[in-house]
Amino acid sequence: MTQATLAVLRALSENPTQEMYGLQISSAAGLPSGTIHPILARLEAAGWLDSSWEDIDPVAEGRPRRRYYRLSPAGAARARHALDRADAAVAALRLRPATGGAT
Amino acid sequence: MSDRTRILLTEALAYALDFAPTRSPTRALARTLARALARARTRDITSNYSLARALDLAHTHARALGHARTLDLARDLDLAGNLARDLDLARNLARDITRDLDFALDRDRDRTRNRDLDRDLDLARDLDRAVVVYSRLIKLLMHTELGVPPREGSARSAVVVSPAAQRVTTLVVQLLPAGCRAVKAEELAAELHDIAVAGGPRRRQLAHALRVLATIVPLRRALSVSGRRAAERG
Repeated sequence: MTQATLAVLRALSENPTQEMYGLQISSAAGLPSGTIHPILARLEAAGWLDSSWEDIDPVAEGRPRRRYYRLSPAGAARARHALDRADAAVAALRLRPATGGAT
Repeated sequence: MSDRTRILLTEALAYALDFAPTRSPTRALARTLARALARARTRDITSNYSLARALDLAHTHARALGHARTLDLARDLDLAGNLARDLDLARNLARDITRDLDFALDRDRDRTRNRDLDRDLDLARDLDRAVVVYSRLIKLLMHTELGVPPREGSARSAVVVSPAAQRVTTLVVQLLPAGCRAVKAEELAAELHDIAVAGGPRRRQLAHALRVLATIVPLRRALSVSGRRAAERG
């Protein structure tokens, strides 16, 4: 799993019940806008994400509807697991004693 | 070679020739492209090598054109700072797109060797789209608002969605699997609108659209998988 995917999962996991649209997700994940669509599509295809349209009338509002994403119940559990594993890997790297030096 | 592919390559050639009188490297590329086109006309295009080669040449030519023209834009306008950086960004994105399309072409060539005629027809259609998108992208970079400084004191209350960014997102949508186009078209339109509402200048909107275009290969792949799974679920 790439760092970008982990960043997206982390952003969505902050509040798993909250729906977010693409620009919000990229901003929360610290990724350039426009780069997360493949990630969202992959996660949705894998069943980790659910998506739905914003509930507005585009004509009345004078703007297109946003596409909202949130973690599915199964996706939330998998995301937590993936993030925990990534965090554990980072922690293990930090705890690894320095090598080399006097013997 | 399909009539459509031939027309597209002819257009690309005509496009190259527009610039040929002033640029010898471009003229040479245009000549090479013309030769490839002439060869391709005489062959049965299900020998896809000719098509792929012609597309490669079109690619090379488009890349050279984009690079030279973008540099000229910056030089002629004598603009420094933000504009130069934005042009660099556009050029880098164009390079990324070229690389992605190259990967796609390589992969599709491999597929062509191993798959049946139906697959080949799909490939030819996809490559047609790639040619269209790439030539339009280069035209866009040449004529876009990238060279136009943002207007001073323009009314923030009016939402101005960049036509160039809209054109790029339209091209993105054309490259996606048919079943996903309507959803992505509206989603991308909403994103451009949101950037505009937030006061994002047209260049930022265009950069956003180009970033989406730069990820077209993985996006198309992911959406294809999604579509197949949906079909399997019935």
